[in-house]
Amino acid sequence: MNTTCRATVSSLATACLALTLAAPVSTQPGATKPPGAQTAAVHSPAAQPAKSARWLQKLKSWLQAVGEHAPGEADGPAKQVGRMTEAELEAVRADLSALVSIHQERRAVVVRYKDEPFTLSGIETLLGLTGEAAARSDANRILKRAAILHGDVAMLVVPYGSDPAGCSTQLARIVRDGNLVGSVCMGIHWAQGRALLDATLPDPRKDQMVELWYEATIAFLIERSDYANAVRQIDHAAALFPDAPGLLFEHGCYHESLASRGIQTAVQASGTGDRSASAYLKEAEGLFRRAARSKPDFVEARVHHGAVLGALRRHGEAADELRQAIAAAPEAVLRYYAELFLGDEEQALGRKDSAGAHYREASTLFPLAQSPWIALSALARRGGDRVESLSAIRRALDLPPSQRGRWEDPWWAYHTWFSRDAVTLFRDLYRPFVAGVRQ
Amino acid sequence: MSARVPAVVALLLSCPLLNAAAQNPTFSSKVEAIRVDVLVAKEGKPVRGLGPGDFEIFDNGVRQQVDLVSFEQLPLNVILTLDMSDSVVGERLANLRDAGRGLLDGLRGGDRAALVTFSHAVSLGADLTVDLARVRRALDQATPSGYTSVVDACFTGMMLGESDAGRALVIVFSDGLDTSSWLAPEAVLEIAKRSDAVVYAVSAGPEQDGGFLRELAEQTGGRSFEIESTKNLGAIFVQVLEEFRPRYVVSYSPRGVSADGWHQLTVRVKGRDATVKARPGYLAGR
Repeated sequence: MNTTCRATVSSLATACLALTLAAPVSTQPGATKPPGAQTAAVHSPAAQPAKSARWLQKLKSWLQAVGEHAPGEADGPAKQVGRMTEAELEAVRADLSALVSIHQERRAVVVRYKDEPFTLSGIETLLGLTGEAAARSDANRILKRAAILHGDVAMLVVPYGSDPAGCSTQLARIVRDGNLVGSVCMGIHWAQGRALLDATLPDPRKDQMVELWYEATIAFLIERSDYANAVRQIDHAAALFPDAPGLLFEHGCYHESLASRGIQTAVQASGTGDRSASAYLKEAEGLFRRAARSKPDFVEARVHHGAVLGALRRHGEAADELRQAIAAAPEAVLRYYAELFLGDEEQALGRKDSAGAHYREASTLFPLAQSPWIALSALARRGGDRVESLSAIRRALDLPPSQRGRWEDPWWAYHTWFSRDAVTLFRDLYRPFVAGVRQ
Repeated sequence: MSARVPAVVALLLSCPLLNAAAQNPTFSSKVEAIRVDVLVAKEGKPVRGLGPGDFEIFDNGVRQQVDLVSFEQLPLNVILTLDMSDSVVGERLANLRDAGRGLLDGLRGGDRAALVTFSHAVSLGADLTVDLARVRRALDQATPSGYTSVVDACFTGMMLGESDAGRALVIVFSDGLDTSSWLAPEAVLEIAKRSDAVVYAVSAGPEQDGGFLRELAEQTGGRSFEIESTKNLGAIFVQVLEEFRPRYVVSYSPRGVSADGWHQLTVRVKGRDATVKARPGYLAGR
């Protein structure tokens, strides 16, 4: 079910989302039961008890890993779950969903599911439901802890594994230094995390933890340039939280990155992309505009919006947006970006003196940065001033040599700068669950 | 001809003259010369012994008086502009260093060389100098790291090449795609139309940035090479030098053409069955 949903979520987001939400733990009387639950009602008691025992063992083992995993660690439980196949993950999810549904029916009799007898209290013990959570058949804590576990597996375990465990049959291309250098698997644990969170009660669209999980993991994926896995997270997040400024902004950053020179050239050279830079930029423009409108003090969204408007040759609008960003920018790096971009926009508008002033301001903010001096040199050369052009390029070359791992020029990190908050996002995401580690 | 001859002339006019040019958009008699590097070859070998009377130059279709032709007289300013990003390692780095040394060995007294390296940053390993040993040392010391700013580096190479008398030859090697330049390729291509530096570009690897480098070489009258392996890089660098040195430098003072805008150039050699290669034009004015 989830595979089908994932494939269509971008075009049929609402319908697909509704299906995913309803299936695992519907609270509506008469609502469609998940396939696992329906199977339970008609299952023959005589059918293969040995297999039933295995599924239950698998579920218990997974639940134990969920309970014991320390968020943010590539620990034993994470490695154990990292070895599970896609079919095993789907089975575990379906079984969990079915048991929660059975619990919701509140039947005072023993219910058989896959030939195993379950009572209300038995399910509560198995799933660790107590108090109000048990009263509401609310498995949120398991679902959320499990989503964190699967996210951690996708980030910390699968990428470093030597076998195909944790991968779907799809491949994603790896672009390094602008070159396509190979392919990598699509992580099945991201899909598992999404599907688990879709089942949270009463509505994942109103759950801050769910929003935070998407915001943090998308920042991580884009920072790693893992656009193939990022887009699935983004599409699902957009369906759940269409107006969240942080997610709109990240979505815009994704499109802006795909429009960048290195990615575009690699994609076109490999024949793997059918969208132009301009198409990505237009998408990014709309998303940044919405992010800035829904949160007027979102300076970073304005900076990126201005940059994208400029790339779309809407220079007047770009200059206006960048001026607003400069006026409100709390961080030197954001001001630096805005000054550099505004220099280009003023140049495009024929205001060369103003362009030079903005490049110089950028240089003042980051005196070791090369880009403002290169920009000033090109500005002078286009104006026919060879002496000034040479002087500026010499200033760029006289700067101390760049050291590996240091970013004297923030321009070099423009496309990933937004993810600087990922550490904070993950800390906030993990905090409520760290204390709950079962020893 | 030892003094530098500016490639773009309209920029040097005073303001009143610019106003006059707007009313009557032709060059005055005071304009300075345009210099064009021209390769004349027959069956792959340079044709020697040509003089001003052998050349025909058309500037935007208007025949020009060729004032001066020099052949192997001007010293070279060779700017080696080499990719030192993460991907240039092992055999590729060794081949690149060998090729650079081989090229330096082919320079003559009076020729100058410089080393520009680039990753995400552009660095000056050695400024233009006749002390080629210094350039060799810089080449040996350059170490790869980081991303690729080939567009910024090409611009830097051209600006350094223009900085001194002599014929500017910018030799660019890159094995990657631009990922971190500030300047847009279009901006550098436009500036190249104003420059008299000639760019020869070698791009290596499966997905190299051949598009930008190919266009840059074409705009400046140079040549581009797209190679799978760097094994023959040394031979290519030597070939570049052998092709560039025996080029003619043809000079003329534009007459009867607009001071501003794009000037299409046509260069021919009279009465000879020879291949003529020169930049396709130049951009004048602001």
